[in-house]
Amino acid sequence: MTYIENVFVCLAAPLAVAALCLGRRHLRLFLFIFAGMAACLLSAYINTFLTALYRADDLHAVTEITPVVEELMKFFPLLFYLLVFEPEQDSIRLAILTVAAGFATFENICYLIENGAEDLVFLLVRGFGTGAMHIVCGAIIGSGLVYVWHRAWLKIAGTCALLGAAITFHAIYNLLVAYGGALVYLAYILPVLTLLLGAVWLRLLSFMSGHCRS
Amino acid sequence: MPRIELIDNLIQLAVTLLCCVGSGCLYLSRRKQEYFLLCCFYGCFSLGLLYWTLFLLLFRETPKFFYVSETVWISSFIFLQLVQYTFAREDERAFRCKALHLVPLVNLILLVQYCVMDDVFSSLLCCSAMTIISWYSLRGLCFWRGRRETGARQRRLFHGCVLFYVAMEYCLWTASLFWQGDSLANPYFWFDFVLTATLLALLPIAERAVGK
Repeated sequence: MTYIENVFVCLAAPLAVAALCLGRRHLRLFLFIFAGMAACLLSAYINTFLTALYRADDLHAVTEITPVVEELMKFFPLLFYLLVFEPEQDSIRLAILTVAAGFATFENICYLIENGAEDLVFLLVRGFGTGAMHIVCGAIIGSGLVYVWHRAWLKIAGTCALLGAAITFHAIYNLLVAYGGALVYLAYILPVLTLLLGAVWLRLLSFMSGHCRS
Repeated sequence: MPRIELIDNLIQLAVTLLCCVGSGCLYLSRRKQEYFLLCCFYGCFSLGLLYWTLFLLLFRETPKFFYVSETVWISSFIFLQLVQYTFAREDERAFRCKALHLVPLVNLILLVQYCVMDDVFSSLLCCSAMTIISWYSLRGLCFWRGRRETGARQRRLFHGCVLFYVAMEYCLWTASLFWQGDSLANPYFWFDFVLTATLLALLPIAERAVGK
């Protein structure tokens, strides 16, 4: 049994001290990291509860319940930030990516505690795979929200669609990992590949818009 | 391995992806909001279907516990509602007639049936979305009936196509409650093939109705 709330306290304590030392200017960044880690902690509780409620086995829990719960829990701090503070476009992307990074870090630490840290190569691959997957899901929501949150007619549908897209991406990743075999490596490559493709696509779009303007 | 179901899903996935790319290209060339929303509708639909098909392909069963595909499918329904809303004129939006009272009644009966036989939460979400879509399309059909303005016929066709899509979705869900195995004799597959054809037909019909 892993006492993840104790792990959370242990990780949050030095970060809280650092946040106090750095002052108000950097406080927001630390709050998003805490929010990401707290979202991961609460996700673990809710996942366990729902798995027991539906009497689901490990496979169905990982491929069906976990993606929905984790993406929703990551989204709630951002939703609060959007509704209460009405931030600028750049702040939205920073917020969701920091929350996602905090979430992925806490999840990786819990994985290490449970499974040990002997195999560095596997941990490196897993770290980049799962870590990048959470960042990709964050990037899908973050970059999409920058567009939809400033268009009233698209706000609700766009937010639902982005959340749905992130959940489905997460679920497909978990599906491939749960299946095992060679598909695990495809799953680990998928997020990094998606990030690279996304970056190329954004460059291409900005190049095209610049070309059209000139 | 459920072969017919897999083939059916793969065909539908290919069609929705094709329509997503098609409507995306139309949006890039004509810059009309309706095409962007249609692209999102097809995109969301195909994303949910991709997960569903992968699950079926890898584990030889369909997801049964939680709402992964449903989240994007609900989003796709919301996008379809937005297409209809954007598409309607001001006087069409204000239009009311007696036939519209049928919409909540029929949807309520189906909702009760699904709640009794299936999951309450997803039935509630899907039936609510379908009620709004069928309300908009029936209102459009009634509004444009008998009118001789330019584009009236195309608009009637669009609303009719959307209403037929809703009917097919309901037939599909009802047939899934009485599952008859993985064979072509199962009515579920007939409805799903017709649904795929309707989704394919919706893009050119919408393109005609929106115009250049």
